[in-house]
Amino acid sequence: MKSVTQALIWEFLHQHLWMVLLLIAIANTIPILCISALKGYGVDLDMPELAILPTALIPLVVFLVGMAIAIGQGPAARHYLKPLSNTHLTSTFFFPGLVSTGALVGLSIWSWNLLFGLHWPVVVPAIYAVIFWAALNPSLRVAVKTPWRIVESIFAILVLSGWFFGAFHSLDKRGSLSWAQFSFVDMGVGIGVVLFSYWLCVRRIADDRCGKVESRSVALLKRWLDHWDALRGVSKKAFSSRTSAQTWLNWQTLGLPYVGGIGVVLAMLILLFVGMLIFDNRDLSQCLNEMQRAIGSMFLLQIIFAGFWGLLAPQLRLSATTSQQLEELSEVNRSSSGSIDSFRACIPISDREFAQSILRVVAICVVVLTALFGLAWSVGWILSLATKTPLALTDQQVGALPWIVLGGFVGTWAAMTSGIMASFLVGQDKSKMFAGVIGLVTAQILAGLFLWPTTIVIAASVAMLMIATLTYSAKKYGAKSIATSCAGAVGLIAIALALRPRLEEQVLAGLFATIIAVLAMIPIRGLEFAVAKSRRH
Amino acid sequence: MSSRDTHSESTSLSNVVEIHRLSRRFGVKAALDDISLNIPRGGVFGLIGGNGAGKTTLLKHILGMHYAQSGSVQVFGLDPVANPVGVLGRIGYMSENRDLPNWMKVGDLLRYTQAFFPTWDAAYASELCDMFDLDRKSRVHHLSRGQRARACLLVALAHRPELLVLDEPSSGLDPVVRRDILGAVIRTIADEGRTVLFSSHLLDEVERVADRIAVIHQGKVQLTGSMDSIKDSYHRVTVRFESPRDQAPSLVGSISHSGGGNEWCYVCCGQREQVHRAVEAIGASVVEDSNLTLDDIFVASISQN
Repeated sequence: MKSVTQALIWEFLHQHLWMVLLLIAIANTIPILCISALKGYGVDLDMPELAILPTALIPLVVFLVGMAIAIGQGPAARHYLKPLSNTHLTSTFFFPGLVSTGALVGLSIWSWNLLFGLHWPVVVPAIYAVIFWAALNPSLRVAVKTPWRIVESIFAILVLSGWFFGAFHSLDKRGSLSWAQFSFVDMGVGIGVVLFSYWLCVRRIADDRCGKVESRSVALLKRWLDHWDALRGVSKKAFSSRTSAQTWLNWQTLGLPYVGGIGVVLAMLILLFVGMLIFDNRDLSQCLNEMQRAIGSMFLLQIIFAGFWGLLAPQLRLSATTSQQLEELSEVNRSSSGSIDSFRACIPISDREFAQSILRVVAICVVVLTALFGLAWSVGWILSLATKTPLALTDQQVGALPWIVLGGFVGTWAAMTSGIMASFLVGQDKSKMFAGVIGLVTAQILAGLFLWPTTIVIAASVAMLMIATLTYSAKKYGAKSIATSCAGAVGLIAIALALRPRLEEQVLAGLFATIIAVLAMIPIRGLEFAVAKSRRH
Repeated sequence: MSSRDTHSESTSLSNVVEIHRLSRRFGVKAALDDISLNIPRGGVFGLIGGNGAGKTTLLKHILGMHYAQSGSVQVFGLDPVANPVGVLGRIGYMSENRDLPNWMKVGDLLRYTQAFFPTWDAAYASELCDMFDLDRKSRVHHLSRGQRARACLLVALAHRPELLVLDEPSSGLDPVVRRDILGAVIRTIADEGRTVLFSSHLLDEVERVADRIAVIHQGKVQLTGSMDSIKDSYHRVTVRFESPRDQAPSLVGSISHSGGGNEWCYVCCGQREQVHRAVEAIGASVVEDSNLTLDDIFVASISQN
């Protein structure tokens, strides 16, 4: 190899090419499924009203492709002991990732245009992908992962999304053609973001390489939290049962960060609107309405976070080694895995109790989210009452509210439980689970737009993926489950019906509700099988 | 109660672990090959083997993390896969990894672990916490390697387990922590009827504390028995011939040899008297006869294979 970059690219392609190709394929499959379903209904995809479609699908591809490359390149810390300067080290992963993300996203959209005769812009989304990738690198890829970095990443995503929507898809300028516009100011912002991100990566690598992991303010905050925890610790009591102890562990590991993340995003959203109200001299009534609508959208989009929750699920597994890893290890070593995870692996808890502890945490999350969203909405109502500014909600919007609430909670439950179950079932191979969760997320977004055919195809695909894996698992471990078989049958019927063109909207709505209900119910019994599978080999 | 049940109960009373014709394959590789092994109640059982010999796979079967592909594993007379609560609730386990949740404080760790073990002895846990010099307010993340090992040992011991399983417990630790671990082993067996299963590469430690050992090599049990009987049956015998020999004459029971000319050194397996008779039969006399260390026995048993 003539250069370090060349060596790293070779390593990347040699080790992760298939995984990256798989994720890219998944990233393209979801839009292709959506577009195919809509084409089947004779929908004109270039209609301005459907601007939301590229706006939703293109960032999805950006995210999945970027994720594939990030996973493939691995953490920057693994190169710390190599004789490379900080700038050289940063360049080896930053720029190749930058170029490939932009190229792959551009290529994906170009191929959709070719396949379906669309006229979606190629260059601007590719540039956006490059900027997005660059902005996420300092937070997600460099240095030690801490909750502060996650908050920082969420902040970066929000700011970029705000800029993106402001520039390309403002609320009063609907139309997919806005994707084609990219001003010099936007170009300047983009270049600024890339350069700043690169500089930040170099700085962080320099800090992290010499062991400096957190700033003084973060250390101070941590000390304060410790102090608060110590005061609280006086009243800590013994757990009443194994399940409650495990529920506490699961809540601390994954539940609390999840609802905390949602809380931070909601707080930022409210701050954003209050800021707009104060500094942008916006109309109060319009601003309040937009805020209520944005929180409503967040309510559905929170399932994206549920997807992340599923991604973190390997932390919960009682055995960190999966059957697949055992097979791989056996190729190089006679021993099964080299070592045992002492703490988690030897906890005397039954599969059912463990599954129950996870379901309890999900239930707690849903309840806490109810409170959080209720609180966020209340801010708007209180502002409205205090300023005597009536909200301009239509009867239809008011009527839809209970359904949005119900759908949001059932969807959250389904996404969280399905995500974690898929993670237990498929082990370290997160891509399948990720595909499932993202599918569900997209389904939820589209459900909000009443694009039923597309939604049902995706939701049914997710249901089938879950059911197939679960049935295989149950069969392998000699467990017979009538519920699993019934769920399989429902999934099959749903797919068959979904692929039939031109059904009544009520029928489609019923089907969608059935599939989501199935997805929500499967883990109640299925998670136990999934735990058994991940725990023993 | 049937006669079979009676037999099963009596064997489970005398043996903590009963492994019968256990085999395990990963792909085409056999990690365990038709292993039968009983670990009697009380005392310290040392499990010895090289890297990839199958020790960890065997321990995973005992802990119920692997299904028995063929054969059977019984711990306390129970199937550890079917009854994880019944089996793991009576086992204390400490691994080489010392994988503890980093975000927890030592106090939280104790509170959490306590919930899983009805026999948890809070007073004993406090005593161990003080003895190991662990601060309950410290986060696991901030513990040193040695302190982390002690924290693992604490949660493994505080419920006074009937079976203490230590998988490479001393690796990478300083002599002070190793002494704590050996102390824990001694304390555990001081309670009547408790058993320690000890897997280690540090054979001098195993030699010091184990009553019985099993040597595993390439997924098979090469050697098992009490430490005394095994040490008695392996000797290093130095013999002298009246005239120099170019090659060492074959000696019944010998495993390996070295030397040259008049004097040759044999590592032998068998009763001392039998070996001496065999030496006389080849026309030589015994100059020196010494016992082997466990280290030598391990190497000899592997080379014998």
